[in-house]
Amino acid sequence: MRARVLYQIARADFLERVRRYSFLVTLAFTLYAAFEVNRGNIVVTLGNYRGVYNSAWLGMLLSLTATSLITMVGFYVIKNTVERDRQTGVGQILAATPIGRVSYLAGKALSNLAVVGVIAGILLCAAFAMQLWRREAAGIEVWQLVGPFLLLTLPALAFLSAVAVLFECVPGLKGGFGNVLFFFLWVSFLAAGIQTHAGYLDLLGAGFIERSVRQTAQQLPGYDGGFSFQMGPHSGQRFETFVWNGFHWTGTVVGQRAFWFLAAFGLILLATAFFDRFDPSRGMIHRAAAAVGRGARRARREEEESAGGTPAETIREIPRAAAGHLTPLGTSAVGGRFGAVLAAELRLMLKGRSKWWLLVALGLCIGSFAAPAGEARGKVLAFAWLWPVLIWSAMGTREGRNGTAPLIFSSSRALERQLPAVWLAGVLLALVTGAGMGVRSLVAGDWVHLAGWLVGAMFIPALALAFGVWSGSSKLFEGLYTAWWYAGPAQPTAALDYMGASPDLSAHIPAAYLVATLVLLGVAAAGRRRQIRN
Amino acid sequence: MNLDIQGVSKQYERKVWALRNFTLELGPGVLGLLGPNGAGKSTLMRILATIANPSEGAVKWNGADIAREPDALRNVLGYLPQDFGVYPNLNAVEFLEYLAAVKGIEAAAARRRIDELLELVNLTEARKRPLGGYSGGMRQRVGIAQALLNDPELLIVDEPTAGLDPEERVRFRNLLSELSGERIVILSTHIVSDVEATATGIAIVSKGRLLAHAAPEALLAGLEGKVWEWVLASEELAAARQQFLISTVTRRSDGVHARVVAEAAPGPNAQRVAPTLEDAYLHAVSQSQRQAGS
Repeated sequence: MRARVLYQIARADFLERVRRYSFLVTLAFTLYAAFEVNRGNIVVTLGNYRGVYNSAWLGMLLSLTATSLITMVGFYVIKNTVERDRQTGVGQILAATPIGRVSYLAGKALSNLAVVGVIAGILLCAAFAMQLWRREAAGIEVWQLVGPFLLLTLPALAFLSAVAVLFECVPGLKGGFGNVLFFFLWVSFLAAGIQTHAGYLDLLGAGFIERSVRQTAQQLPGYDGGFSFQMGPHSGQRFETFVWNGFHWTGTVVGQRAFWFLAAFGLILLATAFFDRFDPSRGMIHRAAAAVGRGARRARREEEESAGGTPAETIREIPRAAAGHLTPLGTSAVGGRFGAVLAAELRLMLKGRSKWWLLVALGLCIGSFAAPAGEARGKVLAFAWLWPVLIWSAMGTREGRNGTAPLIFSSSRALERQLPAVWLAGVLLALVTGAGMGVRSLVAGDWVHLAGWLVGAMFIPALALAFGVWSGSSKLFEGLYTAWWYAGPAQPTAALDYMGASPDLSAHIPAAYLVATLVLLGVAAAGRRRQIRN
Repeated sequence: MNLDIQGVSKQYERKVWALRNFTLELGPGVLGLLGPNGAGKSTLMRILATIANPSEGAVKWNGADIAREPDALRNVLGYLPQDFGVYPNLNAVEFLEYLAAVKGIEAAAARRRIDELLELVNLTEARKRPLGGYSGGMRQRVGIAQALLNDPELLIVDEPTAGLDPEERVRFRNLLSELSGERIVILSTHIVSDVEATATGIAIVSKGRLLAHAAPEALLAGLEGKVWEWVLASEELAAARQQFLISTVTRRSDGVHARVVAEAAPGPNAQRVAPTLEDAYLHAVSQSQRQAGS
């Protein structure tokens, strides 16, 4: 019975997801990744060597590609399974059934695994196709192709599926903060796994792969000991090839990989402790908060009662108004200024932020004034423009997420007035949080960095708005922006530095991002036009 | 003030038409738009509210095509959709101030208007509470208030009384009647009693087509002498349902009192009674279904 329930939960959720347009986009992205592998832009190299594209090498390469890409991007694809039940109201129905938390969350994790499994399956098919296409080695060895997917990719995906469910259940990690945090956890986890060479910590199996292929490469003439898994345009370097015959799957290795299934189940059990069963007052944290609140209320009540006052919880009858009166609005009262919409958007943007958020933003702003010139100042700016990521990520999605779209889109000049106001509010936020960098560049007459800063302040909200309007979700921006931030301004890598944080910034970088800003604004406007009139 | 809907059709998917050749001309007054679920009422509302384009036909507001010049209508439009949301961190005043700015209403005028509207929808006491803590009925009242923010000439309200308690419902009906003087109000619902109390005109829609458009009196006159109250035994009810259009059934000690719409008396003890709008609505919808079936 339980297996059937689990299967039905996973099946319904899986079908609901794969029948969405967004899943087609995911599949297209997967096929593109396979195409890039075939073009040689995603490679595993050992110094001047790479493996002959036989079943073993392609199985390893495509499995590593699948594991690396899916564990990062896939998280943002699958982290909405519980939330969808919450939004659609299906959760309310399920909550009223006898289904247990473990069954429900395990079913959701299985559905997650099925979705990412389909993506991995496409890359497995691509491995078959590539061997036939490239003809570097004759004879397809099915186990050599499939084995790495089953023993390396699948356990990692199972763990990821459970992580996504856990993030959806833990109150602080449900939203955008969780999306941003995941990226940093993913990077740290990956690095730790590879560096420690401890199989039980190596989620991707990258350490195991490295050791296996190195073992063969040791005997190659001129091998320098290097191992690299690269994604990106290849340098045109021609590699010597060698034959690698695949992994030696020992019991220990299989045990290490099986550990991740166990860990996934552990995470699901952990998630049940936080899962509120679609009643916000029932989650672990809320239960604790409610207990604290109850204690405080009891103390207050006792205090009031002892003082002879009115109990705080007494509900007063709301007096009914008599016949209402509405003063007609004159025609002069309607017409409106852009400034009023901008102020309203700014207020909406900042409403609900805690004072801690504001204090940190203020600290980063002051820091950008106080930091010494050069790389340190760039780092402060980079952090100052990471901090408001959750505010920017709501741009373009807020209307849909909160159901206010019909109210706003039926207002006059929603496209010409409200959309630019949203963008400009985002720009103002960027200018204020990173003010120090701009002011100091201005004072120093450093026009290139000033331009970089100004363009960055325009580019980020434009990117958020375009992604938000077209995806309808804040996740795309949160995931991509964080990754971009990490690869660009945080390193800093000049070409990816959209905010002018690198000390060696050249003038053509801000110019390129200015053009990108204009394009993104056009994309956002086109998307909004489509939303307003469908 | 004139709203002219000329042969409007809306197709969502291949062969799925939500509206077919819908034509209607409206002047000031309250139009009750009645129809079963899925009749196309909300689609029509979305088209009139300028947030959906017709696949065929045109809608003209004072002669201007709203697909080409949507702002001509949007400036004077109040719209309460069937499904809408709020920003949970804002309170009612802040939310209405935000929408007033988006609608282009001057700040001072907006503040006065918001005070009056909150009083009108009975939310003055709760004005400073975050909307996230509002009940469904309170949110609906915020929705009503936002629809009236810009003193609209065309007010479109889609299932406005959903979630309201009986007292608020009566209050809203009265408000609609008061508002209807120099504006066009379109009230979409499948609750006939809501329309009965307020509408000066009624349009009955089914399967995307306009079945009838007339004053309530004219619709009732068309059924004069065709509505019967018939007392029958409980076990006869199923057979009677097969044979006649029964609008309501009440069980009493002497048997089942069925309200039947029929040309002739359905039985020997049937008494002729005055028709209601519910009878007229059910009669129109069942006739169209019968015609579609044949």
